[in-house]
Amino acid sequence: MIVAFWPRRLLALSLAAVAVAGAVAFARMRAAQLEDNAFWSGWTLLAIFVVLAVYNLRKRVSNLPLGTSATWLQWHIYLGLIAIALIHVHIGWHLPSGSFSWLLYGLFWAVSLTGVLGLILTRTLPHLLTAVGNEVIFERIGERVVDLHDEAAGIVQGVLGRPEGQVLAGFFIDRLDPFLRRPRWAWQESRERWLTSQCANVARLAGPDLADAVADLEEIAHEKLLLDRHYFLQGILKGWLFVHIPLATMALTAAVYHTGMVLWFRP
Amino acid sequence: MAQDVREISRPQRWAVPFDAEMTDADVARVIGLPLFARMDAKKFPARMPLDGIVRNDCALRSYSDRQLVVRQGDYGSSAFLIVSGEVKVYLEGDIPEEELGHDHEHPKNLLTQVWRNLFPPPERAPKHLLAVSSGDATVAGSSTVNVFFQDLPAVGKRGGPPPVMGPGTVFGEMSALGRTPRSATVVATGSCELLEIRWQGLRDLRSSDKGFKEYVDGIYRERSLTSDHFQTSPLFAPLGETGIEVLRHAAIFESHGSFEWSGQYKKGRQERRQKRTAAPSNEPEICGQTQAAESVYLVRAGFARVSHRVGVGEVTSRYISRGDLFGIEALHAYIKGNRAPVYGSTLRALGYIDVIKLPLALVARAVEGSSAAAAWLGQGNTELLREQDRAHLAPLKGEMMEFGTESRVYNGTSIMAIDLERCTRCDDCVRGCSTAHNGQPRFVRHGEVNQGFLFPNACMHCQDPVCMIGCPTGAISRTKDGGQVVVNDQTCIGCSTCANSCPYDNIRMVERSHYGEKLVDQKGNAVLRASKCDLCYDQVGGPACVRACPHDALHRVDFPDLLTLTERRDPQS
Repeated sequence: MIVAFWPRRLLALSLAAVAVAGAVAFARMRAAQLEDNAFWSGWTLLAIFVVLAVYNLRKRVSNLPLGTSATWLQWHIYLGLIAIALIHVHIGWHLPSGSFSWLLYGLFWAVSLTGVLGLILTRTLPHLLTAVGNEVIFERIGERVVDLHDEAAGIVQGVLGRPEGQVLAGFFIDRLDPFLRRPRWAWQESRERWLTSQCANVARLAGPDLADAVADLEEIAHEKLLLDRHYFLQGILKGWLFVHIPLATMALTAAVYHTGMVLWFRP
Repeated sequence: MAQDVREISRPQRWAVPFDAEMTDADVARVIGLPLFARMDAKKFPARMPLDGIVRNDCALRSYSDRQLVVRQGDYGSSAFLIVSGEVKVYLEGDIPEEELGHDHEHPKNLLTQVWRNLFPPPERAPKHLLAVSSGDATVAGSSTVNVFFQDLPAVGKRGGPPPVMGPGTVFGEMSALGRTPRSATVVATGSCELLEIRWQGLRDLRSSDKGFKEYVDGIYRERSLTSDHFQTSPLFAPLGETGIEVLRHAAIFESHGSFEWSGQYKKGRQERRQKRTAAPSNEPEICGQTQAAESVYLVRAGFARVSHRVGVGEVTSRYISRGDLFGIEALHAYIKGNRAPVYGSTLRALGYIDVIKLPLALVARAVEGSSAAAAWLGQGNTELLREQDRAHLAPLKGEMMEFGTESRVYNGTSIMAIDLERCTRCDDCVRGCSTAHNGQPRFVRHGEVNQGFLFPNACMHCQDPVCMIGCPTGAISRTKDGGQVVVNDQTCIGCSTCANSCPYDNIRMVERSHYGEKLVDQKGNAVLRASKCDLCYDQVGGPACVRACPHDALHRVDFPDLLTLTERRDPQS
């Protein structure tokens, strides 16, 4: 059965809010009784850290019936949000003291912020990618750019024998060749305007006989622009994980070390 | 680094016979049966002789009293000829579902799944491909099931005793020809011997012998009229057995379009895309929008497009398939007093369709005599008219319907649709598929885009799987349990017929290997096998691609659900 997303989101946010409110109320009650909150909140946080980290392992064994990756991601998101509140319960709503505590706290926020950033990116960039059109697999962009370069070179070679062909050759060497050499990690609206004006200029100089060749080159350049946009947007969608996952690994390692130290030096 | 190469004999159609135990004496005996004795062996092509078909595409099967032969609901790709003895036919509902004992053909094994995930095994070629002779080949596609019934009803659903069929009768042809589930359960009465003819043999016998073709087509038409279609239709079911019998007598069975439509469709697809033709080409018109309505149509098998003329083009308002009715707007008008109604929309065969044509006036009289049927007609007609209004007023809203009908996606029961508004292009779906299939993904995240949905080239497990039509060995078939269309690696000879037949380019031919060695024939050409999505039918948890998608972007849906997918999106999308 196909269910809309917003009811699920509303339900999950409500449950997360209830969990946070419950944790805060429980901590206040214990604090009023002069009882320590660091122990239970610390273990809960560590457990949440482990569950959050296991998601990455689950993605590597997608064949196993361990629930869908989408369900895991939902838990990952909302447990991450709960953890933001819980760490402040853990440290008693004060800033940390001591360099290691600051390191752990800093890593936690770095992981959280990159996670939230990733969530925003994964919910917004697909719209932009769809608007670009011309669906292409990231790993094939480089290959397609090489093909486009070769196609453009072929068009220019085909007209070299003609007197106006030199105009196209010059345009290719000065402008198109560097542009078509490799995919660029850039989103430039101005690049499109520049390209259109360059092609219009070349069309004027090359004359009507080469109008078709110029149009073909313009089409190639336009496709390259779209590929660059895919390269840029898909690159971001893949790239943020290379920041989030190492930070998460460091944060988990630091948290485990912190727990070990607490247990070791526990009176 | 160059890959190791191993030379083998290129597999042939009859490398794996249907029954390896067919002896010369068996072949001679079958050819001596009246149905085969009437055939002229000289009319068969040299590459496909009659005795070759009997030897390789037929199997003699012995059944004991009360043993199940075919089970209603199972997908079958073979027909049977009764050699000796008798069988009884039980229609849907005659035998309780729990007694029919639908079994799981491939039990799902979690431990195997875990093991294969951790240690994907290398591809191994079937033994018979590597062996010099194919004598040790396994039986391919046998449908024998060892199920015995303790108690069988003496009276069938229709009141009388279950029909009995005797020697010389053919059955199972509807399922084999129509690629549909078995419409009845057949049980042996006493000891009997049957000749099972797999679909490929049935096809070749039909194409080479006119008499056999006429006989099989005749019983196909006759049985289509007497099967349960009327009883399962919401309009006709309330009429009762007597009312239905009156309609059945007046019914005419018609077939439109080509049974092997995929080639024609593929050829015309490009042309249609380029020209955006006003009227769909290669879609035979069954009845026109302004034509005087004289009949009501009940779809027996296949698909048809219902469209309306808008400007110089046609807008698709819906498609109809098995069990659906056409002409009920006209029927409604007739009952309301309009004695010369028109259809109001055009009906065109999409590929191939079997319809049962019923006289409008007769249906009107029957419906007027049944309050339940009349009530359904009123309600159903209102919904249909609303649909038509939508199609007329806002043709673009039906873009997905138009796309689905034009590209024949409606045929799919598990269409892979990726919502590009949610997809982050992470390719976890492809990786999931790869993990589930020993490192060899069964699809590429590439295909047509419509309404922000990507339809990758992944098998849709069609209602009408035309890929099965030409398979010479029966390697591509439906699973009995879920009806998924799967390829048997053991019997696939890599002829590419299925890949060429698939109208959607959803089957790929891949090179065979054996523990890393590439297999080639004597000429050095790679030996291929067909590779396609099997919907992870043998795995716990369902399709790996769906399980692997972190963003709920990938769906496996049938066509009606596809139409509602867009409604799932957030308003800002």
